Amino acid sequence: MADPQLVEKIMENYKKNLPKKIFDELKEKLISLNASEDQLNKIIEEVYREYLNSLIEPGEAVGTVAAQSVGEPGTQMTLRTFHYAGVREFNVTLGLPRLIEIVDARRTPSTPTMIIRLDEEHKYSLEKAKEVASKIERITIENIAKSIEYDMINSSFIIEIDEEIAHDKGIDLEYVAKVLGRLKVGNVEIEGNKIIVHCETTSIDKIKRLREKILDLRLKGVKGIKRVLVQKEGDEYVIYTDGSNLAGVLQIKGIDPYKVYTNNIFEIAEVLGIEAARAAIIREAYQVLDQQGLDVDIRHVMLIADLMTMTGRIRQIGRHGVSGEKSSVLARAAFEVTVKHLLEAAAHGEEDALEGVTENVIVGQSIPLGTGIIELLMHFPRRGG
Amino acid sequence: MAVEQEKIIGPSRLTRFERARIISARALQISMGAPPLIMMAKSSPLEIAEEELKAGVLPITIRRRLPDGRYQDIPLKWLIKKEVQK
Repeated sequence: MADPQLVEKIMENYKKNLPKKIFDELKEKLISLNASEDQLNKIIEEVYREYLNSLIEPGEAVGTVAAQSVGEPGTQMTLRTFHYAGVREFNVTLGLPRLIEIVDARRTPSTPTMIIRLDEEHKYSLEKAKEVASKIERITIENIAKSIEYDMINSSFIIEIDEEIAHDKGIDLEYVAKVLGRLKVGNVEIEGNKIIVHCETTSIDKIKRLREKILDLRLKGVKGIKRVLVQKEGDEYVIYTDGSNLAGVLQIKGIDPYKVYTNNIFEIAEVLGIEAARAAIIREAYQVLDQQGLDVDIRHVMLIADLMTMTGRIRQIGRHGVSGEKSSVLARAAFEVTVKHLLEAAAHGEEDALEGVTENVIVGQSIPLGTGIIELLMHFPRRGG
Repeated sequence: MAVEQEKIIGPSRLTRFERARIISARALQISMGAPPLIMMAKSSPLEIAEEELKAGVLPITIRRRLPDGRYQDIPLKWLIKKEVQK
């Protein structure tokens, strides 16, 4: 066992220069090692040198390599995908469709889901977990009504409430009546297990619309969350949801706000910021590849996520994002609808700085990549100097 | 090897691109009749260029640029010294 303080002291200099993960791992290993100060120094030096040697060299075509490294495994995915894994009664989009969804930066995923962990107070008891879950699940009149009818004679809606279900969801008739009252369609009365809503209109069209509105009236829960499921995981209870609303769920008491998960990247960007969204893109994309058993280095995925989020908002990879917003006219023209891009650029008097690879290929210069990016100067030493 | 010696933009050794570029540029000069800077038995320009680089006699400076336009002129010697040390 080496002295932790000694290790700390020796490694002090390297703290700035090594990534945290490597630094911590090295520190841990060194402490568990039985080595002298001299040996420790040598080990650290060797690790640092090895680290420097493993860095990517300037001029390397990292973007092309990343594209290929994600694209090639993607072709293998197409053959065995388009099926959804039935995860705990919910369907979650996986495989290629999900990967496309991520890089296309769709505003909402086709199957939004959340995994909500609970705070200390609520996570160990099923009762309390269900209590929180009931606050999250969106309940509409439709969910608790046995039937809804329109009484032509009295021009009123008669909503028959299933009291058993309503009770189970923790809703009483008075509450339903109160919420209906807020709609301001007319007087609301309670008669046994029926709620009668008077309305003045007689137009069939309006009645139809009103019926929809009443059925869809949110009694409680978070907007956008359709179903919830309480699952036991280890010794704690976790809530799975169908539908996602990060901002809404974060306001619910009893959840652990630090551990809420959603697969909606745009919500993450909105609520937690672009860095969180970047991390989410990396996690989601890598997870898809990993689940398919494809061994893609995470740094390729990280580069893609960086590219998508570098402007401060999420851009898709493609026409309306990274490729379509390139600053170079020639690069855009080379991507799609060449003539249109060139004509527009000419009309606007755009200039092209010829900084990228594509532009230089087009004009026939050496490209700024690899050996082409190196600038050499030759200086002739003066005679006798 | 101390953590920071001179502050150099980029790696403190010759990258493989720089290496290839230097050797090719020098080999072209030699093939067009430039006098070699070292005495050696080999005859092909490419081999002479390689030996010259190894011997560290080439009066070449690399201009390394940052994306923001700043640059640093790095004499070949700085990078080769490190390489030999390794």
